Amino acid sequence: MSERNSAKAEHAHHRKHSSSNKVLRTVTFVLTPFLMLLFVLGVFLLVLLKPYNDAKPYIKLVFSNEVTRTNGDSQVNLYRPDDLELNVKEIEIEKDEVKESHTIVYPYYGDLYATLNIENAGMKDLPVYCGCADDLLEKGVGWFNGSNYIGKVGNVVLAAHNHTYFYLLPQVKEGDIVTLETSYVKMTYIVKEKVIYHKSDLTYVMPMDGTDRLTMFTCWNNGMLGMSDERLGVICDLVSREWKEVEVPKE
Amino acid sequence: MKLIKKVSAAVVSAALAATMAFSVSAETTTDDVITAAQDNGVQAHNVKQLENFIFANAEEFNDAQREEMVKAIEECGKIVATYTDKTLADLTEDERGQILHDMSEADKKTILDKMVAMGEKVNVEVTYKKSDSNFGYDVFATMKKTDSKGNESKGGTTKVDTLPNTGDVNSVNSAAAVMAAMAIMLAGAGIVVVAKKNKEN
Repeated sequence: MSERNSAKAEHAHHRKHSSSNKVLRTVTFVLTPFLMLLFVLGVFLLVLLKPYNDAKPYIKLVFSNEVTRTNGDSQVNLYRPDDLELNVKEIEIEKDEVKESHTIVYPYYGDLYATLNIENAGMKDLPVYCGCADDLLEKGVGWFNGSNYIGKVGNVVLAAHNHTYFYLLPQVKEGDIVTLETSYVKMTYIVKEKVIYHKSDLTYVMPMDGTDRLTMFTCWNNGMLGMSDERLGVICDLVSREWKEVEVPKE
Repeated sequence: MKLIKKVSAAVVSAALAATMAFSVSAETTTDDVITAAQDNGVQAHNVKQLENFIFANAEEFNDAQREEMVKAIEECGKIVATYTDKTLADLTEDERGQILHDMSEADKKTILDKMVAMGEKVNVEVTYKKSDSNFGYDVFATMKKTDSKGNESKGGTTKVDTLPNTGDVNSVNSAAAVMAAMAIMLAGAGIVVVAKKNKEN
């Protein structure tokens, strides 16, 4: 009797064990490939993340049509009321101990201030905005308002992103002619040198009152696009300053 | 008689000189404001921004208002002076930038609030908000104008720019990295568990 009972128990245990084996085998055959796939996908994602981020500025460049588009009247200046009058002033410029009176139109922050051309580098009619706020650098080159107004004697500093408006800045060569034109003056410069410097080095972007200069800078990522702590600076000396006739509003 | 005339002349001359001295010291020019900023530890870019703002709005400020600017700058200079043993006018650009970077939040807020208060006295609306600039704040100045009928209006708003970052942001997408790491861990754990179960059976 006991032999029969133990045989029965053994048979039941064997049946139970056999069905759980089937479940486990099924789960194994279904789950294991899925887990392997998940594992492999996770590894791929981690490995490709950095190359994707490095390539992202180039992808944006290919699919963006904003690099050379000139922003015209469609641009709204969010920094001032639309009905503000032009800020036109008579100023005195002293250069080499000679004083001259000229008319300047002080731009409001956010205004389209000037147009930049460096034909040899393929940089044509780039819009220059008054200010370097993020939204302004999205639509053009920014005039840094901690530098001199265009036309005044001193260092004029321009900045733009290396994946948009200053994408071609590395193509600029010494001796290239640069023109910067506003509604009141046309400045012509010649490229004197290109420098790579750390962003904490303010040597090249100081106001430098008394020294006529144009400094353009953008991020330098060893020739690649993207953010960097290094800057590519293009330093230009003044060739000529042509003042334009501007009507001064009557008081 | 001659002595009386001499004394009278001397008294009149002294009075005239005193009057002229008073007139000269009452006139605060834009150059005075710029010099005050340079002498109180302000960085060259910020001095130029101040100069640009004042020159562009020259007719909006009178002597009294420029005097208020000088006073506010000097008060801020006292705060800057607590961060250095050097005379503020002798600070290099690097030192001025470092002081701004190292300044406590409380002192930064004090300086900003002094600028706001000064702005109210010179018809400039000064506002600020937190940012990732060296100073930690973005500052804006809006010229307020009043016409002959007393109607107030606002001029343009100028942002006190810092030297911008000019590259596309390529920071690693941290959410994607976390998800990838979790997927690897879960998948690895699952494979180990299944393998163990198979081995036991």
